[in-house]
Amino acid sequence: MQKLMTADAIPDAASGALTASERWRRLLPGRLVEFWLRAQSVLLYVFLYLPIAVVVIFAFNDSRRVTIWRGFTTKWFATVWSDPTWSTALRVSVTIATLNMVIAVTLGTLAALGLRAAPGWLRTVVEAVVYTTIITPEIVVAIASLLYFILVLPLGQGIQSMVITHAVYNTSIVTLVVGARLAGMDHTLEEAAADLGATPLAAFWQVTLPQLFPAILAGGLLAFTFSFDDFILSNFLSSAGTTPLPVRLFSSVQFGVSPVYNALAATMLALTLSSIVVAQVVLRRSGRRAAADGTA
Amino acid sequence: MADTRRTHDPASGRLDTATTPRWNPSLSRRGFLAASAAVGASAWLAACGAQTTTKTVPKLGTKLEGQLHIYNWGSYYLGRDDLKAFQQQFNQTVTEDSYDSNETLLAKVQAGAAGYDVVVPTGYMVQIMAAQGLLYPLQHDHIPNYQYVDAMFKTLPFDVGNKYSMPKDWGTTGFGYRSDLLPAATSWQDFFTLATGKASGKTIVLDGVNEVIGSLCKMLGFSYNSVDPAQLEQVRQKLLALKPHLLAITATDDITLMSNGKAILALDWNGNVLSAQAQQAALQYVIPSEGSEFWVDNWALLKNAPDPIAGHAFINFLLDPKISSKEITTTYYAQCETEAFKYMDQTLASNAVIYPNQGTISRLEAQQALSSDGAKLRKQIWDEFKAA
Amino acid sequence: MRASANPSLRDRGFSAIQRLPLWGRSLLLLAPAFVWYGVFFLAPLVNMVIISFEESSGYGGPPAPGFHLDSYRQLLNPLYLKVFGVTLRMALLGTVACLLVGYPLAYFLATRASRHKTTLLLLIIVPFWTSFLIRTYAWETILDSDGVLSNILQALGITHGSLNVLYTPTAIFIGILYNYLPLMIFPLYVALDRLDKRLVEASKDLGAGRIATFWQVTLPLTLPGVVTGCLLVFIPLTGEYLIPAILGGSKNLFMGNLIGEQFQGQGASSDWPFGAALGVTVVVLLLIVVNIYLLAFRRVQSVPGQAG
Repeated sequence: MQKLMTADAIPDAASGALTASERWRRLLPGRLVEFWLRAQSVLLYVFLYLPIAVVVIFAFNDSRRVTIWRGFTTKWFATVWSDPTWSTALRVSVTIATLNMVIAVTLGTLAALGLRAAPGWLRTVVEAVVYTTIITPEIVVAIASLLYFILVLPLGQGIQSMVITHAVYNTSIVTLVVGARLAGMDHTLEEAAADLGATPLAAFWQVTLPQLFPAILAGGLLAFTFSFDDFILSNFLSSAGTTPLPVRLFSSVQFGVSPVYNALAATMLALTLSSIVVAQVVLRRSGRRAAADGTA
Repeated sequence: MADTRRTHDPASGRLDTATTPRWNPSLSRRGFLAASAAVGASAWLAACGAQTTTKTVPKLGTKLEGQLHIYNWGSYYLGRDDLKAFQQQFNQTVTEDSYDSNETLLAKVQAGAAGYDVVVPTGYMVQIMAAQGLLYPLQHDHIPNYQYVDAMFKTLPFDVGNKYSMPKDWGTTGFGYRSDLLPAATSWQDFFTLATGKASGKTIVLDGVNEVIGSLCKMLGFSYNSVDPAQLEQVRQKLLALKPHLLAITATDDITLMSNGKAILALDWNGNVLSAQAQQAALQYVIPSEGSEFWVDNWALLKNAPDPIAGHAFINFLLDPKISSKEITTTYYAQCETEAFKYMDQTLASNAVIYPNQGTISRLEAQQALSSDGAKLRKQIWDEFKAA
Repeated sequence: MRASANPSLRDRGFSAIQRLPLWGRSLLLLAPAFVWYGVFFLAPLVNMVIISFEESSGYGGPPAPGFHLDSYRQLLNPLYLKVFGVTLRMALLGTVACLLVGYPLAYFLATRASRHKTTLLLLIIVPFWTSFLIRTYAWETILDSDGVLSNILQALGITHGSLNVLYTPTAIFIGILYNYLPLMIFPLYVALDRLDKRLVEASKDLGAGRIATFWQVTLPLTLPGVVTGCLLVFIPLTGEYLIPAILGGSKNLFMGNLIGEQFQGQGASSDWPFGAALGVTVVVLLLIVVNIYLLAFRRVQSVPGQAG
């Protein structure tokens, strides 16, 4: 930014013929900016991947010390994969994230569809609520839900409470993502379907939904991810038998970082990466099919 | 970093347990008895009035549910081998979560803490939790090993007759310092001088309001449990002066930080300092001359424990002298059973840091349940200390 | 397909819905979300407001019903006002840092990355598919005085002693920048990507330098992205409490820590009404701050439109 500002102070040489020095003066800041854009981007990618590299590399380190390399081993992976603590926590996390995703996708997609045709006042109300769910810091949602589930609605702590609370925020996310897609969608197709005599339901199933599918999938993935990695809400709302992975991890890591956690993180990274690749393939296929349907 | 955490690693429990079971009479058990009778009784009796009476005692069945949930201090506070032995013997799956202060335990239990069976409160916290109706009345016929518990631990004022708790171990709060890097230290005053001087930036304190405030109270010549506003104001000043010199406020990373040498002065419990001593031989534990705290940690069951049967079985299992004698090699904290000395590692059994002598013990005070206003005032000072 | 079981009935139901007035149909579709928000979000918030007026006991736990202003009075203690101030400062600094670092990268991605755009974008998200905790603990390992970074810097001869960053505000700052950067980059990227390139070309054709073009065309037109990014970073930052706990050595007290402490101890006893009062205050403050911010933004945005 610094360079941008100083460069901006250079008098505008647009008017009149350019002398050699003025040309130079015009080109130099540009070159500097180009260099700096690239250099900073490279540095940022290094910054982003430094911790990931540390996690993955030290997952294979044959030493209990996290910081010093002592040779290659896969024993930490064996430890993680055989320890029921982690598989239990993983199962809890996946259960919560999936249930939350189903609820959020259903409620969010319906809400987005409802918003499309909503009159102004209704839209304002809904947007205000959605906006408030997103603006409220997680820690506040966590304590408000905790108090509510203890003192008002006797659901207590556990999977049910975590699913419910995660789904509030994620419904808003899905509503926004699907809503954005709906706004940018080509409605002539739906109208054409109606003109061609398709029943409204058929039009919805065969025209609207396929077009929405990428957004629904994206919203669902986001909902799943947010829930899966959530610590704050779960930390307040989990019970003894229902500790999800991040909470279990925090409880364990507090007493010393160990290669076991790196192995766990590397495993999770591999799992998410492969599921993303699968999702990508599915998306691309469905995109192609939608395109084919569109041209047919 | 984690190399030092020998005590966490079941595979490398290098300190052999109970190879030479020999009775060690040199320990100052009687000293402890006398001291706690004098100091403990006066300290705890005052606050005893609040205790509510036992509600109807639920009838225990005989079937274990197969799942036991323990909510305990850090993971070095229960031997991995003992845990495994219990799981095998009773075919139970045990999950363990951890907390780092009595106040965290209380807060979590008040906020539900659904699903936990066994918890480990310190004496004063047993009293508070029992008074709030959070603990399960223990059924002594399910804990036959209670017979091995030393008589003095059966009459401690916070829970006379062990209605709600069984003693797990006991220890002291003091400080550890690196004798190779720092001049000899014997008092809280020394601790403060070092922390704000030679050990500045390399000092850690426990993340516990009462341990830190209590210790500085002792330094200034007050009671460990002082709630006097004028006295606490002086403590506050000292705390604020101490704050900029701290490396961290932690009851979880303390052993690691002492072991890897990043912390050379630590307000901590004796067992934690001993754990780190395995890596840093020059680490010395001091019970300050002005006096300090002794505490007894206890096994207890939560009122709505999902599996009280398994909970009782677990407590009984750990009160077995053959087992409790092994616990000390993990925790470095003194056991509450004379019988356990027969099976105990003798270097630990004769370690004066674990079993201090009578003179030392007589300078110690136990934490009490504080008045509501006192607790609030301390909390506010604590917040200010943290925010500073 | 399931619909084939009884299509006519289903279709009849659907067309019955279609015959509803527009707002009725919307309401029907919105009802499930409304109920969910009402029961599981708004009701808890209302309950939190009620609790904030109740009276706490010294050792915490469920408060006694009643109407007291104690918690709010306690909040006016300079100590807690300071915590608010420190938190806002941290959130503000973090947001500005993310913007300063994130904008050039988003700009690079939108205008220079061409073919590799998707890959590079994906590469920004990938690190965030690992656990937040693991990432933050990885930074603890990196910033440790005998950790990775310290060793690298010493090997390169950049620093001589070991690195003393862990458990300092710098460490917290690095953690924040790392974890919040993507929240800033994505809205910026979307805004820059959608930017009508013809406007930029036109500006250059009219003789404006690329720098002038940036300040007079690109930046104003991508302001909505800047606003979104800043909000996305700023809001969760006001409640952040793990990064200070892990990378700051628990030596700091931010709003998030303070609220959490009222329910989970962390060395001190709990106080539900006070925690609730803190929560209420944070939400109210955020609503005010965000609305002022959006209002100011709308005014700023309208200016270049008129001037241009």
